[in-house]
Amino acid sequence: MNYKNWILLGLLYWGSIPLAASQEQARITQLELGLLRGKTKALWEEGTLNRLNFSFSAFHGKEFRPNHYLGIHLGYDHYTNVQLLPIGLGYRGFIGDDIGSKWVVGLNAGFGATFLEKRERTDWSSTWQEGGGFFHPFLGVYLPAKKGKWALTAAAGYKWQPSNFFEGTHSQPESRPKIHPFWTRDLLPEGFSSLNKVSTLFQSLSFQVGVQF
Amino acid sequence: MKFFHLKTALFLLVSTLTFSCIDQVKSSYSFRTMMPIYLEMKDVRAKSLAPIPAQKIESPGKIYIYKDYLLINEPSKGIHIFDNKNPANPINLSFIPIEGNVDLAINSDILYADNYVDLLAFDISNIRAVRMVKRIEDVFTHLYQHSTGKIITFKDTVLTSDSPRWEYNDMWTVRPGMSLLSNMAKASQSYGTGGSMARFTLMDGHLFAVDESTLRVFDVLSPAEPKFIKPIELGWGIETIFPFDQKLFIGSNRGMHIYDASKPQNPTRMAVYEHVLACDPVVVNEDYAFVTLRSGNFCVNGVNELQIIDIRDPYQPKLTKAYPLLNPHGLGLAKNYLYVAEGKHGLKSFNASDVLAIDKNQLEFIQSMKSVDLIPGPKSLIVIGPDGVCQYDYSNPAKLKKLSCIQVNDPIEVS
Repeated sequence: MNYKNWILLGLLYWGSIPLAASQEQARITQLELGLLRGKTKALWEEGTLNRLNFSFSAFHGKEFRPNHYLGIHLGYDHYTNVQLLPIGLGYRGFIGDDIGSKWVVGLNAGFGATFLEKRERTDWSSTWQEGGGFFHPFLGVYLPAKKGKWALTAAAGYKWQPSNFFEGTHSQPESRPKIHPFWTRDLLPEGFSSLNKVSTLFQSLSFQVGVQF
Repeated sequence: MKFFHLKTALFLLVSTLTFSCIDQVKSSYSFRTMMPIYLEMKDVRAKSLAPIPAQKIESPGKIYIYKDYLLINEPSKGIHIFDNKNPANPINLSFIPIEGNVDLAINSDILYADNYVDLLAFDISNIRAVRMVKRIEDVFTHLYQHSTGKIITFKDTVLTSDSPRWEYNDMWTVRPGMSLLSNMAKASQSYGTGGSMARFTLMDGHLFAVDESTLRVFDVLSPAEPKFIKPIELGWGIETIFPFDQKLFIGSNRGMHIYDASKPQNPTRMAVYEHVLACDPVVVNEDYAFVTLRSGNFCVNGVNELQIIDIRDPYQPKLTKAYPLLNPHGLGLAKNYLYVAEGKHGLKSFNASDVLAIDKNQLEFIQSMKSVDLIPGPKSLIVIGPDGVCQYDYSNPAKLKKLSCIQVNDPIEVS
């Protein structure tokens, strides 16, 4: 099993473990599948292309005020050219009667990491992906089951997620360029003679359904 | 209530699938290039050349050993002076700011250094009070741009545009590795007395300087009064010059020129030994020239080898044997021992007394010692590499011992 599968398995494990203790300690866990819909402007052409991408997310939070929860958010977003693992904090607020369905407002924010993307290197050039900070507010509904602590959730929102693709030519054939973290990096990383950077700001309308327990 | 929320959920789904936002896509292209900078020589000549306090080395260029001192050129900026009495602890003394400087040589306490198109002479008899004693103007005229009469030089620059392209408005740019000055700087990434990649050399009271295509001869019989004698055209691609036994061995990217300098004021060509296009520093003993060919930069033919050339008849140089190497850069010969800088692969030492069996007499291969050039000095083997300018005790060529390293801000990129 490669490291990508381990990460996905870890996400599922993280989402399922707190099941038992969640209620007693006023904790909630949400697991959601979703769609991210947007339009991509073609780089060298006129017009736009529709995109519909798959998304998975898990949230585990603790109640800090009645009906307000703060917690950890992990996810997986499969965009057309890049797979991102959103890692960050989340908020959930529930509006409505104590019994029955409720409105849910939520916000996830953090960093979309590219652990799943492999860096390609030849003697002459390197290509790699980098993620960026994301912001995902949404509004939805909470539909509790008639029995038990389970509930269905559905929500729509807006997701703001930058991502960067890099293609660099090495200064010398077979050199091993150094790529420092982007926040400490110059315009051109050490060991490169040129660098093409394509920055994409994914602006998606999101729709997700899932379970809460 | 629940029915209402189900409708809401459906509405949200339909809305999401109906409407969407547009991603923003931006492209930027950053590239390192050599930007041309135009200078008036009168402005350059007006600047002070008085030594200033010691400066940290950014990127080492040519190196020269003189008495107990180590002089390190900072390409196009000036010369650092180190007290090297103790190679285990070189002391940075001062810096002479000389714009456009890429090479140096010292003769009887007189330091010669180029200053773009001019040759300067400094009295260094008191190393703590270096002073300029002579300027010969307009000798390295290849740096003049003929259309303007200005000097054209290049600055390593990173530019960014929104798309990949090589041409820019109102300027012309070249890839850094392909520019002439850059190539000079690359070639200048080491040397000293007898350094294999030097472009200045002294012999029999004369200073010989090579640029890309020309050998220039100066009379320095009176050291503080250098006189320019003549230029000699050599052909394109000249890289290094090595003096030995009243001969000049000039390495070019197409071969090795041998000049008779028994009349140093008028060197005459004896022979040209040609090989494929490759970079080739040269060192020489009485009978053989040791030439390394490597690929990379201008040297694109993928040849990486050490050639041994029989020069017992300097009019008829003959290839004796060639040995494959990994990516040889500079080399040095001390007695019968040959040291080869193998770029990123490390440093090798050989016993070269039997030139037909050098490969069988490799003494040491230190892979951790990345290097681009070296100089066997009287006290230490000076090696230039990504760690800076390092000195090694080489009293036992089979077991080099590191003595010190002068750190640099911008380490040499070793390919």
